[in-house]
Amino acid sequence: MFTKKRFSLFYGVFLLLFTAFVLLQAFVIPQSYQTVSAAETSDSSESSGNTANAYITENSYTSDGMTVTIRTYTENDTQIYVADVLLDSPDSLKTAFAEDTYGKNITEVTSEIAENHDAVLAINGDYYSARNGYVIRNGILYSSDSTDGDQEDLVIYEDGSMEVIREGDTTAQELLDQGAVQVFCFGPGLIENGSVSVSEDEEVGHAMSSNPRTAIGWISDTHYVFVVSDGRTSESEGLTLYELAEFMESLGCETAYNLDGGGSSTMYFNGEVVNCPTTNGHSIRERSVSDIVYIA
Amino acid sequence: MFISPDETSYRKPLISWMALTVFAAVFSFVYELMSHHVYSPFMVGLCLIPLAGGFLSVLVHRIRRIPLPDVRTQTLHCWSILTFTIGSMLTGVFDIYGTTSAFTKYYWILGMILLIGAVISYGIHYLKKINTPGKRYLNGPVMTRRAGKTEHPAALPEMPAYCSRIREAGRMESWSSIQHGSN
Repeated sequence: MFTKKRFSLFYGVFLLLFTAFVLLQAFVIPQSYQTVSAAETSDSSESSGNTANAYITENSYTSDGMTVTIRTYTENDTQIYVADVLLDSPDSLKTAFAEDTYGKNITEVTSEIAENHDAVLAINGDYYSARNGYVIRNGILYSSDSTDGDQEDLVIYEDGSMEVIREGDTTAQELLDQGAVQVFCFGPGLIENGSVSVSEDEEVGHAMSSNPRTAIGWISDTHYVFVVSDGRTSESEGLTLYELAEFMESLGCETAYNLDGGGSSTMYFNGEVVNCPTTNGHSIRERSVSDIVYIA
Repeated sequence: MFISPDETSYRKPLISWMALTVFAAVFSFVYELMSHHVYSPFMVGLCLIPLAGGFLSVLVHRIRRIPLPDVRTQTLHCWSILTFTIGSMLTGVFDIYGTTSAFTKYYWILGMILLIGAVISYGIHYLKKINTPGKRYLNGPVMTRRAGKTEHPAALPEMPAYCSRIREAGRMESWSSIQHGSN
């Protein structure tokens, strides 16, 4: 028989357990969907040329096949780190998953993933596991699910060029067939065809303020820029998306794209974290992320 | 829990719903404050659900002098509002974090089922009430416009103690019918 106490007890316990499950499933419980095989994580030196002949300074790395130069800027009360990357082959631009596993709630700090893949330069990726969208990494399709046709993705093709597309305009398989090797689903696109493509009041996830940012830009052929800005500290306020887009435009980008920012923003170069990653502005510490973009 | 349908006062449910509304407002305010200016409409408007669905609902009953519904209806209604509130809170949390969950839709579904159940229960109770002439249901205070206060029917002897069991079980029989053995 229905009694107030009996029903309330039963339903209350059920609601509590269900809510706990939803939160654990979203934030805690690791779920592995696919492990990246050893062949897909082959030694980076095979494609990067002879790294034994690399010339390394505090702010640069030069070897056969690649030149990476780190520059620091201060704009809008924000410290910005720019890695200027010149490659002989676009194959040196790669991505990697935390623990070499595609899944949910599987994370590692950027520096650890980078070390495991002998990266010369690395930045955090798009934190794919927190979002729904196309995921293509190193030429392999991991997710073709799309819940938002207006979602802007960044596509890196096998010839090294970049393009910002909208998921509603094409399928992941079509992108793969067109030669896409990397597809990121964070966004929005910052620069398209050399012009700023975000409005001044546009933000990600309703954020309307300055934050640490990560962005990747394509200047020409196999010339790229990896950009990370600090933020949420007294020394570095952070950038709005529009400010970030303007900065990418000033670097000469033909295409530029916003990656996961906030506490995830991390740049790793030559064995060290270059910037000051922070989640709350009180402690400088890397946040664990689900994937990185790196040069090796 | 929040509702005591056998009480003659609206004060307890009003206070309970107001407390939940205030808690939801404080929670959403603090959460948004710590979210680095990432806003979610589900979190910002969190307090509106218990406010509109609970507090204002009871307030309307109080102002219009309508007795509160029966136990079952109020229980279902209460839990439906709570389910909506928790669903809105979780959706806001995920929005701010920048992710989604396939399970949040079940809160809206469950809440709607409970709300529909409350409406049906109220309808059944109402039909039962109007289709049984001669019985007066003691769900809540009997009020008149003139006095503006509870007036109990005159000339009824004091209700024996054993009748409290009937009231607690939610069976709304009039004392007079019990007296005459219609039970």
